[in-house]
Amino acid sequence: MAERLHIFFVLILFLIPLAASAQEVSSESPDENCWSLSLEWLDYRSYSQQNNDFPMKAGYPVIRTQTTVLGLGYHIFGAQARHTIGLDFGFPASLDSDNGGGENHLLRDQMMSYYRMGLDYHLHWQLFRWEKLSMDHGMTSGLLYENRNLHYLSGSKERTEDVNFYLGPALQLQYQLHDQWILEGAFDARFYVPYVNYGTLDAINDEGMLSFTSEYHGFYYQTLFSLAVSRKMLNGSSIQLGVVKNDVVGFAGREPSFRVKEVVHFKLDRLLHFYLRYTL
Amino acid sequence: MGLMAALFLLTSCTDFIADVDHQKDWKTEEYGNILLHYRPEGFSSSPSPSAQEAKRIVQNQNVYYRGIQDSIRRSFHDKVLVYLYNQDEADALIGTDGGGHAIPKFNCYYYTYIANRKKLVDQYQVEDPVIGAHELAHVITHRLLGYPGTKMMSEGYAVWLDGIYGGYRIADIVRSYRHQQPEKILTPNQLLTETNRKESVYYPNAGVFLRFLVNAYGVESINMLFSRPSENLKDEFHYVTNTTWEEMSARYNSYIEAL
Repeated sequence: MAERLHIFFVLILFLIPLAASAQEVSSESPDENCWSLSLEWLDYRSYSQQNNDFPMKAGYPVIRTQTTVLGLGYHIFGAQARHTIGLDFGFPASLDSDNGGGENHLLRDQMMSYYRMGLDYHLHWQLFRWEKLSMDHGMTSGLLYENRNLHYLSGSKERTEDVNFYLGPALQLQYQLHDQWILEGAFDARFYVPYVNYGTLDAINDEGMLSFTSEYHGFYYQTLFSLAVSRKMLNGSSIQLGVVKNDVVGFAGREPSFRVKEVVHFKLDRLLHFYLRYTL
Repeated sequence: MGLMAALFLLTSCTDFIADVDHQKDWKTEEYGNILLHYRPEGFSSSPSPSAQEAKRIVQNQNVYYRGIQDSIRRSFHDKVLVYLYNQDEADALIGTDGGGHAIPKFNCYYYTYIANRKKLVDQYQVEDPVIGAHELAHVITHRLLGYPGTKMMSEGYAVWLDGIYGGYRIADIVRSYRHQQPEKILTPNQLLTETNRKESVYYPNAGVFLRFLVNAYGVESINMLFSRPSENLKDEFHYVTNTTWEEMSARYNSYIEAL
């Protein structure tokens, strides 16, 4: 309980001064609220725990896939702050593996092996503006659902399914390249606290019988770096092309805790998103 | 601003916590259900295994692969990937330069190549094994029996199935403790709760205890306890074997005295 309070206290400590300082700097009239649609190509790589000691080392074999993600967003522009609510859905994809030599010795090519959904909320305030450069800061929170089925070559399976809540600080940098062109960089840090996360793991043997089942609670840390270029259209809409480096690290035990005795599941994931977003 | 800069620096990169090793400089040797990755000759200042030694390693690992299945009476058919690091790089890359660790979810384990090991013949009649059965036992038991609920079961199975710790037979180590350092003999209760004991004490005790459990109550019964958390293990043991934990502990004490 004390650990939980400590983490929330640290987050609140970081976020309150950001909010307080933001009240003073925003002076622009707000834009109109709008919708956005996005199409994304996602490269997913989930590495093995080559070194368990800190600092950890992620290594081969790696489980990987590529899939398409569709996104819908709604942007609310207030007098002081900007809110974005987003929903992303990743299409189910098959997984394979790389032993470090480009060969798959682990998994069967099976459809519906990996899919994900995310519900995200971003809150940004302007931190400063200087000539063509502006910086926003704020917070991000949301839910991530992941479903992964490892279909081993023997016919046995491991199915994991989890819903995880995150909260963390966010930064966004914008540079006006031209009247209609904007260059954007952003950074999100996301903390997934085990006490509000839930997952289940089922192991199924090669005869199709359930051989093990357990719930788990993940403690993950995720960082997202993004770089994008936007073009404003004459009708007020805009198109954005961008790339996001999305890294997740963490582990999950049967009981919610920051110190796990027996690890049931872990994420050492490196994702790369290439997206095209149209804001109406 | 200072606070934000500090926050940004502190949290800006997961690579501070875990970076990715993209290094692919491996030679491979495959036989049966084992795929060995090892370093080419001259890779580092520590010796790499020769091609002949790599062949011997995969053959021995296949002996263990079959032996482990026979011992736990379960069938396993997946390929196991072994990554064998040279000794001078192992500590930085896998966290130890004296052994290894397994990641059963990925059917793999990482291990250190030590050129000059203690001469011995193990319980599978393998002479001077470069890699024993310990990590392979973790992969196979976790995949077949589930994720262990206790260190006692996880390490107990692996040490029992390997039969060796630090180059010595586990029964010899425990016998030596009994004669010379009786405080290092661990009871079943201690094995369940005192999991921070020194590895050289905990592992041989856990291995001998598992060997006793399997011989006394049958491997099928003990397999059912593999994934049980420590809170339920005593009750589950009673349910599965029709023997109380206390009765079993007394019997184990006699077993150790007669070892």
